Amino acid sequence: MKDEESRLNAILSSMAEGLVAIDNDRKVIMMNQAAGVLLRTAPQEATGRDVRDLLVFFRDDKELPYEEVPIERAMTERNIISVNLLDNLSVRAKNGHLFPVAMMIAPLLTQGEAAGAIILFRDVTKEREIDQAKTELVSLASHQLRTPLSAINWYAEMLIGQEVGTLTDKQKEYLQALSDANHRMIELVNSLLNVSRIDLGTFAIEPTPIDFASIGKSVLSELEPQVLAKKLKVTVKHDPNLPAVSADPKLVRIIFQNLLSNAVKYTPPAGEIKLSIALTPPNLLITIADTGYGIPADQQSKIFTKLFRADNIRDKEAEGTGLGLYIVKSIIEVSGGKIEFDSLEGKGTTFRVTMPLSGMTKKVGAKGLT
Amino acid sequence: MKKILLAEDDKFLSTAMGDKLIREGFAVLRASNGIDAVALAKAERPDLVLLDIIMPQKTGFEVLSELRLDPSTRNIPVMVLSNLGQEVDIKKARDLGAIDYLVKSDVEMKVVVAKIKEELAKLK
Repeated sequence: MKDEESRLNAILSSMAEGLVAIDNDRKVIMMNQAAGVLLRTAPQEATGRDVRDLLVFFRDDKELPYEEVPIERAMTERNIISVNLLDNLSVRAKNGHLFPVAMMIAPLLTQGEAAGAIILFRDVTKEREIDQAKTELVSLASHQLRTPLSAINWYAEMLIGQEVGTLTDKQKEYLQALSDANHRMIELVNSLLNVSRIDLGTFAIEPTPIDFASIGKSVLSELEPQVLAKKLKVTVKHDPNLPAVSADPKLVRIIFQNLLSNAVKYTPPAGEIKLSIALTPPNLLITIADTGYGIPADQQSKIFTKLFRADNIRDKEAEGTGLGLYIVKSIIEVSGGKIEFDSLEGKGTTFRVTMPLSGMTKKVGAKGLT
Repeated sequence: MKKILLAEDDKFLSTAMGDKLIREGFAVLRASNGIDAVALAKAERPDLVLLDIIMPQKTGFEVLSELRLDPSTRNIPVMVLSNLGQEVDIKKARDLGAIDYLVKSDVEMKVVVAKIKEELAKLK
């Protein structure tokens, strides 16, 4: 018995993470060595004290309101609460030092009754520095890459517009190719940025009541030049009384843009594209069907992975980054929706997106997607 | 002849936009950093400022607020032309009084020129 207790103590005091256990009255019943070091408080001195005096939470240098303190939430919700780097919380040690914190709080239950909580935490200063550096690099890269790309765009525009002299047809054609390639590069930079924000979990969602049908139609009208050039037949159908759904218009636009431009891009001339939006409570069902090249059966499981492009379209269409469907799926899943598809090579593809009518949940993030 | 102040630190972009504006019949004043941009705006009172955001010495945001504080430059329309395209940046510039916010990599020069002409026509 004694042996077991001292073994347990040895384990607790050797842990690299801080551990604090409290009772129902928020009084500390035990604290390990690591917690003592992090909070600059001797463990034996902490016993019996109110945890609210020991662990003071801050966000953006402001003390966290009582009801938002994760320990309180874990105890009232009787749920395990985890706080990670992106929650942006700091804790103040006894000597005034603030450190960014990651933690896990589990309600302590004895025979099914709440008896307090166990708090496991660590200092994430290093992780925060790395995260910051990554975010800064992404934003710097976006800005720095776009500057020379803008220059290429502008000079090409002036040359193609023959503002400084006339061009032969061949010269015009080559300059146009240069300009088109440059636009693709800009799209690639934007997509990579979006992917990095998705992967970092830092993108924002700002819902506002929107009409999905009008966003779909507006994206289609932007695609009109390609539709006309390929003589595609496009039909749009939607329930006449679609309700406004609270969603982020930018994200919804990205969904339509990718799915519709894929349909246009990967459908041979004189093919057909159908967009329909139906009310199927509790969801909105968006269907985008084409009579295009289709996705080979053996590659269908990979189409939502990053940088994947199916073999049958690589040689038909040089354009495409392999990032679009990954971005689309990520946005839809974060919104509580679903995306599925059927495809037959040589016959066409149908994508079905269901979005909950309850809409997207607001998410504060450093950056929106573009 | 209408005077446009072009505040842009990238030489290639400044040359492209400056040349274009001259061909379109504008007089062009150029600044390649924020301090020069404020000084030129105060000394020359251009009809419109085309303003970059990331510039040495003073950012476009700082330039905007300084122009707003000085009664002699307060009413000069400022159009932001930047490669920062985030909502927060756009909102910040709008709050500081920018009349428009264009992202360089997404906008054709002829669109920029059309917007400038439209804005100047409103002022008449």
